[in-house]
Amino acid sequence: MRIRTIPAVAAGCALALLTGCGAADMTKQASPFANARGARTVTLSVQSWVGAQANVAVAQYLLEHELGYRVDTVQVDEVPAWDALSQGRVDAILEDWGHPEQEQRYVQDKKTIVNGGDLGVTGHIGWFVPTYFAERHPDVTDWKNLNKYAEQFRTPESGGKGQLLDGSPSYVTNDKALVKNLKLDYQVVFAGSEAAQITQIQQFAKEKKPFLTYWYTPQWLSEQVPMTEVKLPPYEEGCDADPEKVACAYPHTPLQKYLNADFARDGGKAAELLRNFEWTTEDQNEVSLMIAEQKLSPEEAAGKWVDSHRSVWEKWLP
Amino acid sequence: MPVLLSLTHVQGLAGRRGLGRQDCQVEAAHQAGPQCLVGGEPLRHGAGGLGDRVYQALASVDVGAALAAGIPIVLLAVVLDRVTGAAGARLGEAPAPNARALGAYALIAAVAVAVAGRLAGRLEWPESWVVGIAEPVNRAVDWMTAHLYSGVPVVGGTADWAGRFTTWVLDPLRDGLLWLPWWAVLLVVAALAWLIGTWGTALTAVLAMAAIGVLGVWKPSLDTLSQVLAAVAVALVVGFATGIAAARSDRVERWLRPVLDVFQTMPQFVYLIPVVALFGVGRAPAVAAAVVYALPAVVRITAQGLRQVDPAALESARSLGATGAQQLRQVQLPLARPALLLAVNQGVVLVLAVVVIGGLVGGGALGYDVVFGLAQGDLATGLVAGAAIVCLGLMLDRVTQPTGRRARKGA
Repeated sequence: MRIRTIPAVAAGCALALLTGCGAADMTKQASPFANARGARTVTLSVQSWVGAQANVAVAQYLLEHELGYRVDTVQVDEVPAWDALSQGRVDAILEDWGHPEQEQRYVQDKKTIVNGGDLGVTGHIGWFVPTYFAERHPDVTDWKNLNKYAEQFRTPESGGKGQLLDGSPSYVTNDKALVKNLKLDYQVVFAGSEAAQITQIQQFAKEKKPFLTYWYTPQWLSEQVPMTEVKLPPYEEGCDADPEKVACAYPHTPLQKYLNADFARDGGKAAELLRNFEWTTEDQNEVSLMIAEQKLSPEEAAGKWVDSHRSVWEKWLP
Repeated sequence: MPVLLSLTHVQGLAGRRGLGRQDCQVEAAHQAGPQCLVGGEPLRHGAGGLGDRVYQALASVDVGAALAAGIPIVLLAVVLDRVTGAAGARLGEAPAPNARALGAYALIAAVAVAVAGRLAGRLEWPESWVVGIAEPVNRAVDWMTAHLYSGVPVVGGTADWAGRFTTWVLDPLRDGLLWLPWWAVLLVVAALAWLIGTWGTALTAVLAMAAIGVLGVWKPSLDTLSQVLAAVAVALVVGFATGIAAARSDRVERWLRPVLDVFQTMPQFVYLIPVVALFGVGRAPAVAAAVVYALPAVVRITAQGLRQVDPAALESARSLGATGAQQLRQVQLPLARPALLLAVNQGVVLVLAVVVIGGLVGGGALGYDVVFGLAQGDLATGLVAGAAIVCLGLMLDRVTQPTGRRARKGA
């Protein structure tokens, strides 16, 4: 027994060295693709929604074809992306919907991340009903009348109440608190992923069934399934400070770009291009629709857009 | 069981890049199956490779593109499985006299061709040999979801089935479990574990269940448990029937093998979307995904168990004039009992392994908590839910594990 413990302990130590202790120095460890020798490589974070894919696709296309960089993209969820950005494993996030906690930690305190300016697109989250339903029942667009329609929004999952469909867990949502604080007869059903939510919305729309969903703009699906926003109590600065007591609408957020601080300083032309990158909601939607509806690859979609919008992107070039 | 083994090897191939590395190892340790290769959670942290494409295609709900990326994963797994399976089968045999020389020649030839090809600059797969399957697949899925979702005469659409399954099976099961006082649940667990296993297993099961209470996630855990039980029941009914068919006919088994391979290795993300399109968001699609995932193991273990029944016992039954059904019911099934119990045990564990995947299509409860914790970097939520899933697994495993007592009785 005694003899056997020694190799076991040794193995354990080796394992700890390889995994745990190795991890202790994570902050200094860069991705092999980020800031590699010669600094001709840029790593961009791609979030899961198509709008974000569109930003990255166009930025990647320009970096590769106009400036001759090599671009790597990584799929990371929003919050982990901030950590990766701070560590320099990712060079830039091109579309951020507001993460006050991370901004405080990395931009204000640690100064490992810098703001890269406006993306030019304004994001907005809200509750939406399909337009075909809103046209037949115009008063559904005021939250005060929602209880009247709860019956019609019922599904097997919502347990006798109306269903408010929520999507990906990585998105900002106050819906549970809103339903409670506005005393609505609704149950928040979490689809768990955006893909599931979109599929469900498409199925409802095919049958022209009523539904109430958490949704955001700009989003390509809104072109396929026209949706009308339900007015919630108006947003005021700070009304969403306490997540338990929120009883107001979501704000309109000018979406931001964020760069790793070292990259912003030493990134040369690439950093400059990303800082200058600024386009409109229509531009973004055009690329998104090519990806989502015409099923083009992001690269093809970006190429098409770049070919026909020279005047927009020429200003971004350093 | 070469298939099960080789699939775990495949996981190691995934995510050897950048950020994804650590996540994949964690996932593999979970024994969860091919998620790692699959483009499951690890991808949300940047694992790359084939899974990356699966994941990206999902943002635009492009099932065809996801499937196109998923098929190579299946093929990789099948190749590895057949190669290791064949190697395993040959282990005991004496090698043919010139087999080694032949193998060496083949290897040299392959290397020579590879070098020549490199020099000639033919590195990429020829463009004209690529067949685009994304579009026809998308059309097929669209047709399926458009015509089966609802309004099918007599039987009703898939959405109606899902609704009824939720209302008549899942809801009563969940409400029933939640209606029981906590100590009654512990008592039931203890009784079941003791009946099937030993005092030791009963103790572990009760402690695991109590730990869930201590973690403060009793309600979501019982919700998850109700889904797991429903999924296991469906998987066992279908799995036993298919397994028996496979054991009785070589042809059925030959046809079944690739199908089961696909079930086992196809990234769940690929079929999750059609499943949502058919059943709507909620617990029903989560159960469906779990059944698809657990089914291959149940079928394989059942079939193998039935086939391994002593031929002498069957022979004597036949000589006494037993019919096929009698042989099955009175000889094969009782003798294959350990294998059947193992199938139950594996079914339970595998279903539990995909609870997190269920969280992505509206399964809610613990699965959603894990997904939420991961997406928000909220360790407190994710870790507690993960620990609760482990505890549930421990409990279910002990409750369905017959080994201890069987060994004692057999002695």
